[in-house]
Amino acid sequence: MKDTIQALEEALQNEKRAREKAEELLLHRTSELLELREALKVKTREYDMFFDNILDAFIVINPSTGNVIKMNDAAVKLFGYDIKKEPFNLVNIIYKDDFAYAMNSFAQLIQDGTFPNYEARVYTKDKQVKWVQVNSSLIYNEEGQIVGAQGIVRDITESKENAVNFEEQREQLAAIVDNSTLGIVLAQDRKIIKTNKAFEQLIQYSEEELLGLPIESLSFEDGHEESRGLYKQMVDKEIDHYSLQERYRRKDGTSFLSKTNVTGVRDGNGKIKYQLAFVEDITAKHKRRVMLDTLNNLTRSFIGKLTIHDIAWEIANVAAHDLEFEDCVVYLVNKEEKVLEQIAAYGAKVDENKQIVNKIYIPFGKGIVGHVAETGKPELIQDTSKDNRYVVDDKRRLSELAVPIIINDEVIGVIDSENSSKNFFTKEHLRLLVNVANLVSIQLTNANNLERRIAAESENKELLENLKRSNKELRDFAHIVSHDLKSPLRSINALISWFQEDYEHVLDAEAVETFDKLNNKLEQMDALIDGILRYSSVNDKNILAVQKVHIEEVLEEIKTILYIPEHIQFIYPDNLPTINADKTRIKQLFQNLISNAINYIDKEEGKIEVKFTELKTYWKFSISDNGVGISEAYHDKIFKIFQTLDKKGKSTGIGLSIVKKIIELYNGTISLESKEGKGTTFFFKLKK
Amino acid sequence: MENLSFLFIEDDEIEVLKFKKSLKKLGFTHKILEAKNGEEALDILKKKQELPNVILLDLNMPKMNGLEFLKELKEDPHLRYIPAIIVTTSNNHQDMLESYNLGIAGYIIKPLRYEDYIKKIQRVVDYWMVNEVIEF
Repeated sequence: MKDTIQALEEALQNEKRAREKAEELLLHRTSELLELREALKVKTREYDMFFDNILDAFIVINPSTGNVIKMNDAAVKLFGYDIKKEPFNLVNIIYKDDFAYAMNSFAQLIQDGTFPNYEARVYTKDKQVKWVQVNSSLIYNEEGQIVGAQGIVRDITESKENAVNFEEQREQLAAIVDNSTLGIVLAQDRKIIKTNKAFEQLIQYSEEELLGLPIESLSFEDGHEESRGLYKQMVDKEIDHYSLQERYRRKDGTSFLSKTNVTGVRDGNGKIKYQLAFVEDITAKHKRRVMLDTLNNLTRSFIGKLTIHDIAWEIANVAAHDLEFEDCVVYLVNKEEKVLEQIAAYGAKVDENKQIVNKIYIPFGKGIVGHVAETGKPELIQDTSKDNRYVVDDKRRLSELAVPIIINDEVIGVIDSENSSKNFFTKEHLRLLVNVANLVSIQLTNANNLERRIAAESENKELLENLKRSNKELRDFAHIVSHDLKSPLRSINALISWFQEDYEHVLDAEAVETFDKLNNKLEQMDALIDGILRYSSVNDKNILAVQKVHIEEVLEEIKTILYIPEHIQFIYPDNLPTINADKTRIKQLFQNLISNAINYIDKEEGKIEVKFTELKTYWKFSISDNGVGISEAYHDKIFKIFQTLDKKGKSTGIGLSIVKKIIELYNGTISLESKEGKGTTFFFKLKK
Repeated sequence: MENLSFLFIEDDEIEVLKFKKSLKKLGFTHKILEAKNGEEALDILKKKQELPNVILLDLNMPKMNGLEFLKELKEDPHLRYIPAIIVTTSNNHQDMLESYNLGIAGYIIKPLRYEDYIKKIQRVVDYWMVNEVIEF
């Protein structure tokens, strides 16, 4: 048993050893395995770290499905998809227009194993379109089978867009340059190397014709010196750009005025590499400026000119000179003769002494000027050789502009200009001359009004002088005449008296009566002359006093002067005022009215009554009588001089005219109420 | 003064006649010197052979009129003392002012009626007869 046990023990021992050996082997294996695993782990980590740490997006796809099986954070960021959260298939995000390119590229990749610089657009998860550049290669296993495709993806959206922008900008710039209305010229050493369409159109040469031409060859010489000076300054770094006006010659020989702005483009050393010039045709602008200036100049020059002749010379000189007309003639309409007279001119029609050479008169309706005078419409003739109305004055000219000067719908003159070349005058010229004509019209109307006013003023002055003189003459005349008339009356009276004395013994009663009548007439005449004298001196301011006049006192005095018959009652109130006036005149006034009243009372019991009321600004009086009365037909007439209703008596017809004159002297009025047979009341007011 | 001498300056002969007739009618025997205008009057006065006591003159006269005569008269150192009286038909205010300004001894308006004229002349002569006048 022992052996058995021993054998068993040995067997057990062997088995134990074998197991230990096996275990040892296993252990060894395991540790190998473990080591491998660890190594793998390290490798994987290294790989992941590399994977994670590359800045660009990195993806690995299953080449047969397109499913992304691995991606880094940059890729997540780029595409918006994350395979840890959702499936992500590359095929689904290819931009539809790039699909064919993508498939072809993929086929190429499978074939070649790599595909560099794939550039296409993709949709991101949030539906953005991004430009990506992919460098890709295939991944194989040990057996050489394709297990994946990896790619580094770069987002190139921005640079793509920039590239687009740059292109766009270039196009935009070109568009600006090409469509610019400014002519643009690029030059090197003042020789043209590039031009734009606008410049080519302006100058009428093509770009090919222009290339290499010196800039100066296109412009007029008179501007070259200035231009060279400025360019030198630019070269000397004194200025970077300059601007000047110059005249360019077109291919067809015509020219235009330009405003040119030149900018220097310098190289790194500050040397002028290019000259960039902007050329603007300012002919029209310049013309407008010139026309405006002409109008302004004319307006200024018209100031103080009062006659068409003076104004005409201004038009001829200023307009023609400023507008560079070679000729200008101003015509004046002579209505009586029905002709147009040349009154001012510019150009060949004038000699050194400002005299018109070979002055001609154009009948109405003849020639273009005569026609314009007749119709009142301006005419712009572009080619006079085709107009049979044209009349040759000093020489034949091919274009003509004639504009009427109209005042109050009447043509008073014509402004006419001719030019040797056809089509010289433009619509602007026409418009300008029409404006000038209007200006003339306004100025002449004003001048006319002024002249008329001055004439009227001097006439007024003269009238006033005359009036003063005639007033004085009238006064003197009245006195002289009255003296000369009164003297013979006195002589006649004396002669009659002597005759009566000498022949007393032979004169019968009838003769005595005749002499009495003769003397009566003499007295009447004497009274008339006195009346005229008084009337003429009422207004004589030299003897017009301002004094306090007591009306009551005046009436008292009148009572003593006038003979008031017994049967006439003379009444006045006790509230009569004291007024400021000339006492003599006031007395004359009352005396005339009262004596009239006395003279015309036909009643047995007569009554004359003075009444008074004080008004705010007037003294109001009335004098009434119960006399014969005055028919209404004569109410106005009685105040006129020499108007008397009573031819027989002592009435001279002057008394009431004097009354009216005195009342007017004190800014008053007089009126009357009367009933024939009943009596008359005169009302009059005197200003306080 | 019983016997005055008047210088009567008047261009109208009827007026001269009137004056002379009036004096005669009134019974005066005063001496009357006559002049047809201012010039004539000055000639008489400047001779200084016979100077009047009183001058009567009209204003409206040909050649030298009354006012012009007065001016000359008043400029003479001797003649200016002879009283001058205006006898006129005109009562022109200006004439009156100027006359008095130059220095007159009276201003008489000729009335229309001859009898009124005689009355006035009588008063004037009477007045100067009771006056003391300068004897040359």
